[in-house]
Amino acid sequence: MKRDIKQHLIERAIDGDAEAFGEIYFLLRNSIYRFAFRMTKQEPIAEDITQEVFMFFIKFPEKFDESKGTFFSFLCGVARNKILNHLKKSGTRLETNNFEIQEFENITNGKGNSPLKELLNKEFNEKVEECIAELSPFQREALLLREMEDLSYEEIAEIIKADVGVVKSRLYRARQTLVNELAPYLESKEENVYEVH
Amino acid sequence: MKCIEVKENLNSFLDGEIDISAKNKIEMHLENCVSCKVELENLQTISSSIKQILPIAVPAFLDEKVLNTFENFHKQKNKAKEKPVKTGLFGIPNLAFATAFILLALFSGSAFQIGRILASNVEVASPAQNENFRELPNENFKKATIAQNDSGEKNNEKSPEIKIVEIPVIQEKIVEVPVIKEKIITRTVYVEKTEKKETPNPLKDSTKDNVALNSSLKDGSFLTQTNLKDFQPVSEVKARITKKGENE
Repeated sequence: MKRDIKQHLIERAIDGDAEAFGEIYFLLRNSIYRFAFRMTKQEPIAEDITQEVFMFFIKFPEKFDESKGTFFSFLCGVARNKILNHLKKSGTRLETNNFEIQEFENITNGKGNSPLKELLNKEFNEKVEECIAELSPFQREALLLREMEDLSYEEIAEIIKADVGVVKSRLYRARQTLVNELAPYLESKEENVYEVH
Repeated sequence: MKCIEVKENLNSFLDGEIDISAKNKIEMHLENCVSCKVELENLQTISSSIKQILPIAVPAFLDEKVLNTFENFHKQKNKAKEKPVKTGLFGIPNLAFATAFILLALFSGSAFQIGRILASNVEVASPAQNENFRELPNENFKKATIAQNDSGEKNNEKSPEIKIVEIPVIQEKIVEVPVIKEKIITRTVYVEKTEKKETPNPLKDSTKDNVALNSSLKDGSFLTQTNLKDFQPVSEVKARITKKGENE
């Protein structure tokens, strides 16, 4: 796994080895930043959180316990705490989705043909991104850590400080929500499949 | 395996977080069930779409900021390690003791004095000779001596040059202040006993020897009520003249 950080590298960074710290930082900073951005939806906040996560490691390296999980899980846990603090301060309800009841837009053209050929994956991806942003923070973090960071259920459970069952439950609800919200697009894709065959 | 059970485990099946026996059962079910197969495909589409979302680039200034923070933190940490502080009594650094002693020497003494710093090449002006001024006794001074900057002095090999400044001494002026005493004067009115003529004196003729005069003597604002035996009241007293034997 590309994010596996060797213990000796961590120890060198703790001792003040700038090269070792730089190696760790450049390997993990994208993931931390991406996670913070997808959760908070604000670049400045994501920048602050990313900086604070690595500064936390600089000042309190003894907080990392190898027996409790990987180094990346440790950083994700620190990031998660700061993200949730930010969301709470902004008044976000952590267990509530923000989907508004919207009528399905007619995505067919004037001639009534399926626009699937005209619908690029890019548009679909944008819709997926919008739907993810509307999930509750708890569901969103579980989905992002699984899909974008490719973490196991156990690793996610360590980060969110919950059982594996809770992780499964939140993932199930998050994906079901996305399937329901993106159903029209998914139906179109199915039609395209049928059309091909 | 039923569709409800399969759909509940599709996420774990998709993520590879399922045991082998359950995985085999689901695979067999999917071969024959279009509905569950479509649901799985939807999950796979969304999952792959999430992975394809364009990665977000970390701004360059953030990299520089974090790396500089790391370097500065460890520089300061190393500086703190390099200079051990020499400790003296009770673990308190010697420098702290020296500083406390000098401060105590400078500011001790009376409230009106300022510590004098003596120097060999500075003349101290003598206080003016004035009967109204009194120089405070020398024992009240605690002369602050700082290591002199003499050449070759063994105590001052490492001390920096000291600039000596004369600070004027404030002297005390004695002024006599009159004390005002308030005297409380008690006024007592006495009436002298005078030679009496044989005049009818209702008081004397009273059956009682000791007569408390029920009238009052008014003298200004004083009201005195007293036993006037052997005293002749000053103020006029209305007498009631009675005939002899009338009250028998």
